[in-house]
Amino acid sequence: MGRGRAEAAVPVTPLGGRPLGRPPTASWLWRGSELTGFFFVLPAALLVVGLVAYPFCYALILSLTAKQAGVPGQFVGLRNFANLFGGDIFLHTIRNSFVFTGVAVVCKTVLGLGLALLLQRAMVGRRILRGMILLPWVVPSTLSVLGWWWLFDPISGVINLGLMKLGLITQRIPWLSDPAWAMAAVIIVNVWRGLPFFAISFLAGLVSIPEELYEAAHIDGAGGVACFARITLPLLRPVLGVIILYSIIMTVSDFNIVYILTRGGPMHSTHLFATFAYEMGLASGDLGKGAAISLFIFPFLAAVAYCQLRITRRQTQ
Amino acid sequence: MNKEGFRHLGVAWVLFFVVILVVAVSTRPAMSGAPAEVTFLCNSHFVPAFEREIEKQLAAWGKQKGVSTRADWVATAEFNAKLVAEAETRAGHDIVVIRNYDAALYKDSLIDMDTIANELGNQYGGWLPFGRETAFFDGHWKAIPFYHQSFPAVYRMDLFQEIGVTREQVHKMTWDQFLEAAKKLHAKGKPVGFGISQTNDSDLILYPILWAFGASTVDKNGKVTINSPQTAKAIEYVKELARYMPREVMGWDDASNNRFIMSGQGSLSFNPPSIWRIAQRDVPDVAKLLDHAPVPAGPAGRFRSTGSYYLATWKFKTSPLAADLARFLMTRENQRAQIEASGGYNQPFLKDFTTFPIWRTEAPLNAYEPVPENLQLQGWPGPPEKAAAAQKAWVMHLIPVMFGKAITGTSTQEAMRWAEEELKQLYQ
Amino acid sequence: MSPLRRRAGMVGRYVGLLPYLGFALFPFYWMLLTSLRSNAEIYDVTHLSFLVRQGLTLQHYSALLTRTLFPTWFWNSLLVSVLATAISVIISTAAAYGLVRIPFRGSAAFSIGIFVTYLVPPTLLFIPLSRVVTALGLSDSRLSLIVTYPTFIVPFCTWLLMSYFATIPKELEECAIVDGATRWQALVKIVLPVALPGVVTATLFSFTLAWGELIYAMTFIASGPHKTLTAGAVADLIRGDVFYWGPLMAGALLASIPVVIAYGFLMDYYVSGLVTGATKG
Repeated sequence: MGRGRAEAAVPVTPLGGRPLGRPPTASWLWRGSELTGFFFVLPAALLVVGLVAYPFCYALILSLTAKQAGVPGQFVGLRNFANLFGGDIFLHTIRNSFVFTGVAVVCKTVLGLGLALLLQRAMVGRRILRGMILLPWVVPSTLSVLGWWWLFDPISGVINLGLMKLGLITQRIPWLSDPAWAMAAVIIVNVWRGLPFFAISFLAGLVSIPEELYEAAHIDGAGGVACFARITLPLLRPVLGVIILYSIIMTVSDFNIVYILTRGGPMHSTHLFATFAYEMGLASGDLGKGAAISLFIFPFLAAVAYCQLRITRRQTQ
Repeated sequence: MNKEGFRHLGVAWVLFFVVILVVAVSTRPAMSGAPAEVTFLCNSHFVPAFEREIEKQLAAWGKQKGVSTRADWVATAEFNAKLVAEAETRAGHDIVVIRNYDAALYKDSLIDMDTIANELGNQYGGWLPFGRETAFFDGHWKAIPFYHQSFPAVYRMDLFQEIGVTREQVHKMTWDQFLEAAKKLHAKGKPVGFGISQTNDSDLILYPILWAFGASTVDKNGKVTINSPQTAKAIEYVKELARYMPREVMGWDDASNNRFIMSGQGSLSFNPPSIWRIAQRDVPDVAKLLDHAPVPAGPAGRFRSTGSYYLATWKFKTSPLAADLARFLMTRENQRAQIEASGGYNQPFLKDFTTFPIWRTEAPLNAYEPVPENLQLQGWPGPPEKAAAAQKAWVMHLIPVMFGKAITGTSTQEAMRWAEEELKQLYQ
Repeated sequence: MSPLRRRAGMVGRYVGLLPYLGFALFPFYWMLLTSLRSNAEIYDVTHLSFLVRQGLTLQHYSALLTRTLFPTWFWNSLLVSVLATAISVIISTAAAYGLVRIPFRGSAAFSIGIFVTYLVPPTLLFIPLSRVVTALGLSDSRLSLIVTYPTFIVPFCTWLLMSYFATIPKELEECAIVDGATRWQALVKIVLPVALPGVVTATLFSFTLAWGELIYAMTFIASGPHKTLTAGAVADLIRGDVFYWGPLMAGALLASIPVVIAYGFLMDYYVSGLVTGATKG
């Protein structure tokens, strides 16, 4: 899996698109424009309706039925959702998701910004540097996370062995067998994977800040920190907003990392919505419950998406 | 946009779709105008030689019948997803190899196999009881038990010798004696270990421990009985034992015990012969010292659990040949060839086949087959109607989590109560 | 700033990059090491070494290339990813252009709709999608992936390209249109060259997503010769409780090569394009 999501943007031209200040003679340009626009958008529309909207509606219906794989289901309303709160595993899942997402996104933001600042001024070997930094993000996660698993392995994992050799620890860290350490482990891997994306996106934002602003500030005697706080951060805010919100969405729905490293354990302490949904829905064929778990987080994600839309709308105005 | 623009855009889209069509035609699999291809789905086996043997047998059968055959091997961890997809899309392979309680879960989607099952049972000495318990539902055989892979102990004979326990003694151990041995081995720096984590291996040893102490998740009517003095005894036992096992067992995956034994660090674990076989290839010095023994006995008996595999056909697949193929794969010669190709890893469900020589000639496999303990699947002794619940309890690893909680500080009472709550949700 | 201070600043920056590089690259280094070590050394826990101690071996690479269908999987992944990316980028570019430049009734709703499809996880979608795939007769063919990958690539690319197109001044096209060009020509001849960095980025991201996808690849395709890299490696190199670590790590590294090459060649172009865009805009 390792599917990505997009940043939000909104059409810039107002609906009804009459550009301001255009002489009326150019209005023929816009006649029939609606049909044109529709024509451009047609294939994407077909794709989304046929292959996304339909499956989504189907999934919505699934979550409202008691359905075992291969057997026709019966409508049960919100019972699947209610049942989720019968045991405490689902509550753990909710808590895990928020902890995982919160910590990982904060780390990625702070470290990403730092890395972007460093990369911005690095001149020599720029291409190679950026390539190397991007590596964790471009390699298929199914395979790279397996590499991390090997690193965390309780018996031959090199992280423990290395730390012990350096004398930093005396006992092996129970990376995957202790609830708290396991959460740390999955967060570390998520940060490792996501950091390049943050860094490169921030870098693009940094690069588009005109040099003249910094030069003017220097002439006025501003130091590095003041430049950062007064020029860089404010101008980066839209990028920051978009990337952070997008990452929240992507991180909450992460599947591969937890699935490969811990399967949601130990004792359900790293289960996220996607992994728990997989366990309930696919491993045991209870599709209704699996769908309910997957959809549960949907309102929250929609709220986050809405915030993201508002930020970009503000940005383009 | 003027007419010319529309034309340009129109031409562009048409070209685009033509290209897609060309791509479609060229990447589509050859029209299986051969309606006579019989397909077989199984999860990838730990011994690749077994897969080659199956393909060979399929080809031989196909030649007899004048059809082509194909075997598809899917990653074990994702196999359930594939089954769900086939059941839901009502399209898939002619024979699927389903596992554990799948026959119960999918019983309404599978064709009845009574004729073949009865024939085979009569011809070859009868089915193992738990084979029928896991494949016979609603008055019919829903699948043909194919093979299973059980979980005996695998241990280092030399290390047990060093603490004064002979091979014969290991083969007759009780859990109390086991604890004593574990303490001594821990003191020597070569502990025993089995996973107490969210993986299948953990269920496969913790359920037998529960049963050995007289405890169980449900009784034969499906009433949840996990909250009991017997369970408490089992939990206390495992809590004590865990003090002499590496801490990491709480986070082991299915392959961890393999590495544990192969690296020489571990003296005992519970696993089918995969550890021994791979050790023979990769660390032969360790392999020479390995043996398999029955699971230790408790006050209520000696139990072993297993992962089982069945041949089944979807109802929406109407090929009459599938049944014939199933029968072909189950003949004595073919089962024997499959078992030998797997290096003795596969164990048969038909009583006559349990006496094949492979387990006699290789000493470390003596205790593997025939199975001396009481062989059961996780839901035992629950009733067949509740098989779906048993499968879910297994998939959610409720029992290992219960033990895990008790070991990491939750009180035994609380751990049992939690498990009872969760199980009641499933067994209502 | 004195030259010495500037030099110290530079050195400081490079030193500052070291922990990041270490963090990013160490797992790959370890994967490389594992792929070159003999099995005995892989399982040996008594010695820790950051180099290959018992002799470099290429057996894992040769096992991967000769005894599994790795080359076939590689080709399948390449085919599927390239085609899915091409289709997605084309569809997205047109859609993004249409949504940004030519508003029509419902285009705002549509852009939000596209965004919402993002929030739905593949673990939920793949069952109904597999019904669609089977209904279209595409079961077990690579075409099923070529058709379904755009479902998660197109929304992403459309958004990305919309923000790129939004930053291109409308005057550029309007001049051309006044001079008699059609919308289509305006898009292709004027907007695209300027938006090329955005399209390149979209292409790279799409390729990355398609290349690493697992769940659809595993569910829609079962037969060996049609499997993609991710599905094949996971099925053949992880058998129950036996992991063929050497070939697995070798496979992971080899699987990274195309994507790394693509990024290596195109990234420079992309960033320089960005810089140009910034100074011109």
